[in-house]
Amino acid sequence: MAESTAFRLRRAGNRARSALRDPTRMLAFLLVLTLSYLVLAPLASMLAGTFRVGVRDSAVSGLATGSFTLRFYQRVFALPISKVLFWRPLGRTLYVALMVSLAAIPAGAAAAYLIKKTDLPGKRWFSKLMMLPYIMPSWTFATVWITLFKNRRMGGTAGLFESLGLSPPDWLAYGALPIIACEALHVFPFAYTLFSNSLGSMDAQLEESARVVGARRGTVARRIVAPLLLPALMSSFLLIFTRVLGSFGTPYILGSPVKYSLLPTALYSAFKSGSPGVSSVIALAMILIGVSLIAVDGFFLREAKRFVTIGVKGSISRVSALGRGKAPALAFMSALVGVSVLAPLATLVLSSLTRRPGDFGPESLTAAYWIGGSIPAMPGLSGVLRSPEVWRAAWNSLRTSAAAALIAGFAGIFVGYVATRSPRSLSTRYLKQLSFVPYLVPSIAFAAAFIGLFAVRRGPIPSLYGTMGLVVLVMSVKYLPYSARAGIASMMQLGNDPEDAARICGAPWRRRMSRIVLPLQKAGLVSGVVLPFITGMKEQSLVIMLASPGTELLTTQVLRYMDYGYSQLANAVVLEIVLIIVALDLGVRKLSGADSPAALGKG
Amino acid sequence: MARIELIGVEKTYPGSRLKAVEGLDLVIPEGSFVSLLGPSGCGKTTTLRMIAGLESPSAGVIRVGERVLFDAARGVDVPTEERGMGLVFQSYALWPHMTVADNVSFGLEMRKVPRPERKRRLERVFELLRLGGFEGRYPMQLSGGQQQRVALARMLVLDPEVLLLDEPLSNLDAKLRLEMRAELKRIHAELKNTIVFVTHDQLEGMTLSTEIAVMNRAVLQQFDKPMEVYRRPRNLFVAEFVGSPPINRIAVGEASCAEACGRLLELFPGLEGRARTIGVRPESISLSPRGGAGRAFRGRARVEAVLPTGSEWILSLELCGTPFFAISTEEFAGAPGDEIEVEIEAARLLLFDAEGERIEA
Amino acid sequence: MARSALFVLILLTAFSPLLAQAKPGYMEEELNLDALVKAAKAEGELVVYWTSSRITVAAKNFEAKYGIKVKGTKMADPEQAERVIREVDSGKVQVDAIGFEDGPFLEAKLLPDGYVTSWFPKDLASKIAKDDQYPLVYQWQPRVFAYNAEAYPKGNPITNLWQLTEPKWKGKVIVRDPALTPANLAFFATIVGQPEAMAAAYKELYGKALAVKERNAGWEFLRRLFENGLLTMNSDGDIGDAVGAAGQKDPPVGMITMTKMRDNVDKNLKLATCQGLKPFMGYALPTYALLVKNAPHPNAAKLFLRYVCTPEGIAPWTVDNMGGYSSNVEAFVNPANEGSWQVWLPKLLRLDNKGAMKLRQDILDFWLLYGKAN
Repeated sequence: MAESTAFRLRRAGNRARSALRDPTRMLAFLLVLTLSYLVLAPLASMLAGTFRVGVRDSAVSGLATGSFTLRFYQRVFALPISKVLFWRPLGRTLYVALMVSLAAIPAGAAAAYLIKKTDLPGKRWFSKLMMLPYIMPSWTFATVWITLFKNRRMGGTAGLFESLGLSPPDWLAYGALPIIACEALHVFPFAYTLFSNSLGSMDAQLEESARVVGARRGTVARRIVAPLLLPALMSSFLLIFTRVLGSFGTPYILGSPVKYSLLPTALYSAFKSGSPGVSSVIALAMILIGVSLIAVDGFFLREAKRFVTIGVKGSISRVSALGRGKAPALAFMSALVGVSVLAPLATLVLSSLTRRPGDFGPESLTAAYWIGGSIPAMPGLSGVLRSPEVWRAAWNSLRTSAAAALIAGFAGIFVGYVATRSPRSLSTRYLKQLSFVPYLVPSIAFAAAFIGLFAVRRGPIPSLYGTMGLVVLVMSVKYLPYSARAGIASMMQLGNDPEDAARICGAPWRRRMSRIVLPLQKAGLVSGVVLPFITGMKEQSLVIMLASPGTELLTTQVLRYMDYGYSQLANAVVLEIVLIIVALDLGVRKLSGADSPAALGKG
Repeated sequence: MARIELIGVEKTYPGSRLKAVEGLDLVIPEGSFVSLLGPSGCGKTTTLRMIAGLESPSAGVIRVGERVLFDAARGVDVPTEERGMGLVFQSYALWPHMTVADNVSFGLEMRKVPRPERKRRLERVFELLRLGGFEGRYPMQLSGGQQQRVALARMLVLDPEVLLLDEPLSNLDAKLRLEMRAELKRIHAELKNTIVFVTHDQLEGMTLSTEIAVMNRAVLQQFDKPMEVYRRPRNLFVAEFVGSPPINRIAVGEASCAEACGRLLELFPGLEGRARTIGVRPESISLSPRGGAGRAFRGRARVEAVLPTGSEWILSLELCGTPFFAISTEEFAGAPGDEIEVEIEAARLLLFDAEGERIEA
Repeated sequence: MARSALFVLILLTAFSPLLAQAKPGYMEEELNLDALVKAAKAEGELVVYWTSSRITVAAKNFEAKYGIKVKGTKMADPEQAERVIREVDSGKVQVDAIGFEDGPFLEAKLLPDGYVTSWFPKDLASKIAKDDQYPLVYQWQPRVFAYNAEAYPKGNPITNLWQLTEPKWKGKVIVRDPALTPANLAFFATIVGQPEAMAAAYKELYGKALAVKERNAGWEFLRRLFENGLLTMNSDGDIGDAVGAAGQKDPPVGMITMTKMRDNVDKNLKLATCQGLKPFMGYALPTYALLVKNAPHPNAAKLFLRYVCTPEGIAPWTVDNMGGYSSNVEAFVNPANEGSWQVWLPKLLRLDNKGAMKLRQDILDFWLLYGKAN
């Protein structure tokens, strides 16, 4: 029947035309395609890499390059050497995470209680200062620690105590104790935030009604307040675990001198010593641990929902008088802020101004590390403000972070757009899941996966090895979860009506986007862009494997200087980074009136 | 010609097995003011959005005048922006980053209306909706009623043949809502375009419309003039949905009122076997029986509570073991516990069969 | 016509064994230096990775002489290897030449698989020993044990390597991290390959035979050395500082390149080499100078490789500095070097590249297992 064929053809044509004219569908299609490639392909290629003999592996093993092997799995899990490559770092990672939780959660919770529930003087200042350790790059404390406690085991400029004649023992200078201390100083503000949110949203009437029915203060704390804080406790715990699993700088700086490896540094050493296969297997294990942590977190979040539902409108929060406890409380808070903010910054400043630590005599005091044209005993180097390397690194940091942040931010908005336009469609559900995946993959593992995939030319994508493009790409994909979440949230809040109203008014897609949707998404875009930008500025774990001469970033420049023992220069660069980040953070807060964006992300 | 025709329109959302709209055949005459009425989730908003082109039906044909906007079989689907309709959203969907004047003139700009003409039409619509003086304000600076008028102005300025309204009054307080109802009716009288109005408020539907389409569970129940819907509901759902206080229902065969039922059914010889439910509108219960001619049910009821609203008295009664609402415009002097005489005219009783369909007496 | 073709064919067949053994890219028929300079100048800026930070000085000198900019970056061997492999595999080569110290990997992989070629400037054939021509070594250095002369005024406290396994030196011996310094892995591997020498040294020190629990005397030595708290640092400079800093009580000993002896002046260190240490003071560390496959500036790279083989080009390592020996016989030898290279050679272990590659994984695992840093 020719007529029916013609009819069917016309219907197909009509349908195709309306599909092509539906930009949402095209956008969803494009997003699904690109994100699948950028998120899944690197992981797949990394997985493949765990079974394939690489060039450097083939040299040590005698196996042919590219042939199939289970050798890496054996080495990581099942040989005597596995103890060193995997099991010991795993145990240490768990131990460190546990100890960091035990140190950081009580400190954060106590600070939250004092600030939210008592009449502590100067609480506004305390609460502001307390976010600083979190905004600073996580490894700042490690560089400070090394500057103070470095002993003869490590070369380069001596540590402060060493040069004062007090040689710190190894256990104080390197390894578990300092790693735990530095990580705890960095993450306690997070516990503080979670607890103060919980305490802040807790209606004082809940406690008061318990008092009314005859419960004493202690009973109220135990039976009413504590159970309501349980979700904050669980979240802090899991977050700290995730963070320790993902942090590279601190264990690298403090652990390597005594070979105290955690999983991220174990992965890195395996990679550096020429075994990408082994490092891929470790990465895989880390991803599995990350996924299970998220699963546990999800379980507790569902459990915690029971508590959330009781939130009452116009809840009242009352503070109790500290009375005689005021002095000790004030001392505790001052000590906390002193150790976590003032002392580290002071150390960085002073160390970058002295040749010999702790010696402020005229021979030692110098501005050479900042503005010197050349520095004695550091051949070929100049002060950080005159160093072309540092300027190039700063420029690289700025432009990669900015580019990655913009890409991630817009991708986030578009994911949010597709998600609100067709909330129940398959592609939306897929995109939501997919954009979350990079969150599960520890940074260093993610970078390893990207190197594996993009080092060679793949189809239309040229080799990106050693280019800024690769750094930008990795960052944008890694930060996608944050910006996608921001994008989905702000698009959901906006809803479809404003755009639909414009459709009704006859506006075609491009004008709807440019005149209505994007202008209305400004706020969402700002948080979706600024957060990745600041995170990018302090990123180390993700880029350490990608940085190369010419693509050096400020953060990797710090590690280079530390590796060569130029601590003054390293510290000066750290200060530069801290200043840039704090300035950005303050600027954005001033502009948007929002909460500290940097405090929301990871570093 | 802005007659809207929906033929066999169906909608199933992806990932859902239930139909949001099922087998909808509806012809909305030109120049009418039609309410799509029904409980939330009945498919009325989906229907409206399908007419606007914001949702694509899974099956069926939508035509406005001679123009085919959608035809599943032929794969035709004219995008919203080319349908030239007006739609006022429940949320108003004003663009917060634009002034009132920019909001209203946006559509004209999209239609490439020249500037002087734009200005003229803006002035006219501002006058029509009494918005003069608000041109430079931002939506956030307006009250709810003003926002709602801006939303309306934004559509009216385009002079659409078809104006769609999605629960536009639900976010207003009671007084404003009444005012806006009057306003809408005035505007419709003035502009004479075809209006489709979605609401779950039966009073709104009754008062505003020339026709009402009652929907339930994705299916159109009845399409008729408002008083027809009220007086001659096609089924029990429509009878119950329209009217406040709601219609009283007596389940035939329930032991507690077997006697009264028997007497009620005696009024309809030949229908005893089919009628399963008897419906009585509250105002059909006469509290001061005249004992006049005509077939009527008479009985004694006990007063449970008296609820005076000021203009009328709502009585909660118990009639042979069944709770009843009655309504009286005359002052009721009795007190709870009193036994009173009631009378119900046979002509005002509604009978429904086992399927809930009304039986014509 | 046909006859001459046949003749060529026969000739080719006759020489084919030679051709098969030929070292690809190794030497050009004639080196026309002027033509090379001209071609190099046309290519523009050069990129090199080098194991020594002195490369920046050499780069400046080269630029002053030829007007060709060189971007020289200090980079450790594993990273160089990783980058060269990635760059060549990706077809996007950025680096032109490398100064590389991982001989075993070079001979086992980079050369045979064609990632780099060892190009030799033929005009220098008479100045550079045959052995150093392929793969091209432009510099030799002794990497030897050193002690703190201030703390040990009577002289070298260690005369036998086995002393390093004694409690006296527990946690007081420093080497560069073998996991990141392939030359040290090669050193350990070569020790393992010399069990007789190690056993003899033991007997000489203690007067009794070594009780071997490991695979052989070499492994036994390594295990005892590692378990005695062998320390690692990331650079020879750090080790020099740790060993040589003035005013120390009980300072450590460590393995450094002779170059660091210069810090005795620059940083007021008290370093002295362990002259007389048996069976060897350390090892002879070659620096290979190689041309990367598909280098974007091949002629400039060749010119630079030739340059570092000249007495002028090696100067940053020999004249301004000390401890380095050019493979070029005409180059300057710093009088502070404690003798000529010929004097040094018998005191040093010569690394066995082939054997070291076979043992690399074993040695590394052995170090990871027994190197107790804590």
